[in-house]
Amino acid sequence: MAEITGEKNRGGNEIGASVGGDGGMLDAPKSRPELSILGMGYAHPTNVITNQLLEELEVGTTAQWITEKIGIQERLSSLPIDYIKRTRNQAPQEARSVATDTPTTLAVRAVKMALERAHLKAGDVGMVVVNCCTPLSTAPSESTRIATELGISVPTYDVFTACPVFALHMDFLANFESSTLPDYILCISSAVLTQQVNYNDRSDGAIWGDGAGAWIVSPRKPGKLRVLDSLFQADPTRSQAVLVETAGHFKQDGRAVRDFSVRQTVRLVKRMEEAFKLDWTKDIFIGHQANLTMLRQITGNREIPDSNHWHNVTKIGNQAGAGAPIVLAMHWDKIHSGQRIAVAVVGAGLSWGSVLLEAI
Amino acid sequence: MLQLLGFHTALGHTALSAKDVPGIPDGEVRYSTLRRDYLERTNNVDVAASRDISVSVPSNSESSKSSNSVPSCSIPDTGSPREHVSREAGTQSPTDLAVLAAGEALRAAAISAEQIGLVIGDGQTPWQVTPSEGQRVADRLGLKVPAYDLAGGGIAPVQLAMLNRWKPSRLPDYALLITAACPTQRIDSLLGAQKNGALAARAAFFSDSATAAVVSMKHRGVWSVLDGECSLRPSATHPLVIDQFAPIAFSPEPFSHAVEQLCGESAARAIFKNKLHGARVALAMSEAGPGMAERVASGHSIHRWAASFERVGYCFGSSCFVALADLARTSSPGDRVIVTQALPGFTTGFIVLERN
Repeated sequence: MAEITGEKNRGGNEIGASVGGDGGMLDAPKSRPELSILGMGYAHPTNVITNQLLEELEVGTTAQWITEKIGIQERLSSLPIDYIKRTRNQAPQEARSVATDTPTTLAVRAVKMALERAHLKAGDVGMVVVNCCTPLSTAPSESTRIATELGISVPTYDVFTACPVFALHMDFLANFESSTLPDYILCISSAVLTQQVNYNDRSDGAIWGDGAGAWIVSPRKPGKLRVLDSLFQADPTRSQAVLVETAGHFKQDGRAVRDFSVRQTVRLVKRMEEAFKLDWTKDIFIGHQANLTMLRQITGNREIPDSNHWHNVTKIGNQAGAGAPIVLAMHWDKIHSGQRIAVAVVGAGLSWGSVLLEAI
Repeated sequence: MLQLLGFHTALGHTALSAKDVPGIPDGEVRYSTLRRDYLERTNNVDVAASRDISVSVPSNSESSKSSNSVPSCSIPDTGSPREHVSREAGTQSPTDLAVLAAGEALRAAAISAEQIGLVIGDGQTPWQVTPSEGQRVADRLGLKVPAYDLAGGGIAPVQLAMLNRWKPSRLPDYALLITAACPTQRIDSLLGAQKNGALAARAAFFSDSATAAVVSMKHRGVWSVLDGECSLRPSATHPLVIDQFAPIAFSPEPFSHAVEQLCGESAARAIFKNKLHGARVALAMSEAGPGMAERVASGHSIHRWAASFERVGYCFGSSCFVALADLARTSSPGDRVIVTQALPGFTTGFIVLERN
């Protein structure tokens, strides 16, 4: 794997030294996937974790530090605020009994919005793929729970890689002979990571929010967004950098993950720029919603203006795999014909990927 | 057409008999990844504790006492400390078993790990939700390739049925498929339970296992995947629940009944769709009780089948591969096997294989 000693921005300045090798060569675009996105939805819980609250927990952080370092002001959590204050969520198992939402309930609400926007009913869906890094159970799987809750009995699978799942799901579906896919495929990413955060940790508590994103894909029916390109890759030899222990807390090697995230996202964006001649005066960038500071490093490197950088992390926090699709879903009504939207996402695995969309 | 080049099932290193778990019928064995001394000391009352990571390396001599009485499946060789994460319980993780199975599957396929271009995992009892099981196995094999989980339905039917529908250009030369489950780690009071009753049935039902399979669309294998289907048969109640925190919740009779019914329906569907009426075809299914494969086979005029439950208990996604390994030993070119299973939820379906 090639060592990359620093990515230069368009102005020629390095954005950071390499921390180990990155993912090697990114594949050249394959033939265009025949996929369209017909509707997207999202859902969040309503408890707000402010930076002020995190400062009041007295774990060595301040509201100002959080805002300056990661750019997140609030996160939406399924945990009641008084529970966080009282217990710091030391026992994730107990969190479940007080939480206002589960991954399933969030997913179902997101799906209903997506179906409405796609002018479809649950019964129209022919396949369900789900990503959830905080499942209630592995048997039955989260995809089974969600499908059962929606009253549909079609093939359902957990297709899982945590944060870069928007790219994984689109690239996964692009693998199929389109004739073997049903008319409508429901993709979902849902997680309640605040239920697995240790709020005695000054870093992790500032990052995470809960949320679910859903999107309806078709290999043959026209939709608002057409997929021009998709890519998914991974370096599992670095997979232990981001952990969610079963029945435990989230842990990560923050510095290594941060450096990887910025550098890999820049590489993904550059690949799309070169292959598809992106124009940042018109086209839109959506990155992994990890923190705003990182996103600004990326947009600074690629000279993407704020007006063409869509994000939601400042008010919702890092929603893992749901982050990027939720950004797109939140801007659904703002998308206009001819616009191209470049989504580049990175995360656990370590894995990364991109999706380039064109609004019809 | 997707090809199956090699597969292997690895079982937990501790063989439990009726002396340990009274509910296990005489002469039968179940395989656990928990060390015997740990079980005798704690009875796994705290199901989370066996997954604690600490510093002591398990003694290889304890592990190597495992019986090797199931010739078609591997009782793992635990000689290499590198293949075990250090834990006070000396517990093998699902990933440990998966890596052992992968090594043997690669040998059976006559390829090296470096030739694998994609790893797809599935795990019912993961130690970590993130990274995924596929990513953990790829990590242990030193692979820097796409890896993720396609979970909920095992290698068969889900992973094989899915990949059989891919464009050949999208599948790398070789892909590694994994399914792993260590349910005995999630059973409290495993030893010394009563001989009868629900607790006894739960303790005697499962073995810990992992199966790995090497597939390709570009290279000919031992088996061709002719067809595959999978679907969800939602259930208002769940007779088997593997919660993230609690011990396994299990109602053996409704679960076994559901598995037999769903596998029977899948077998019937496989026969109908592939015009296998009267054909020479065998059955490899995930048995969730004694005699199940024979009943399903007889009910659908299938003349050959392999049993797995009386040998290893219920092994989630590995059960059907325990049976397939038996059938493979006596199969001839042109033979067809219906592989069917039903996993909790229930995801069910079939794969039709033809011996090349």
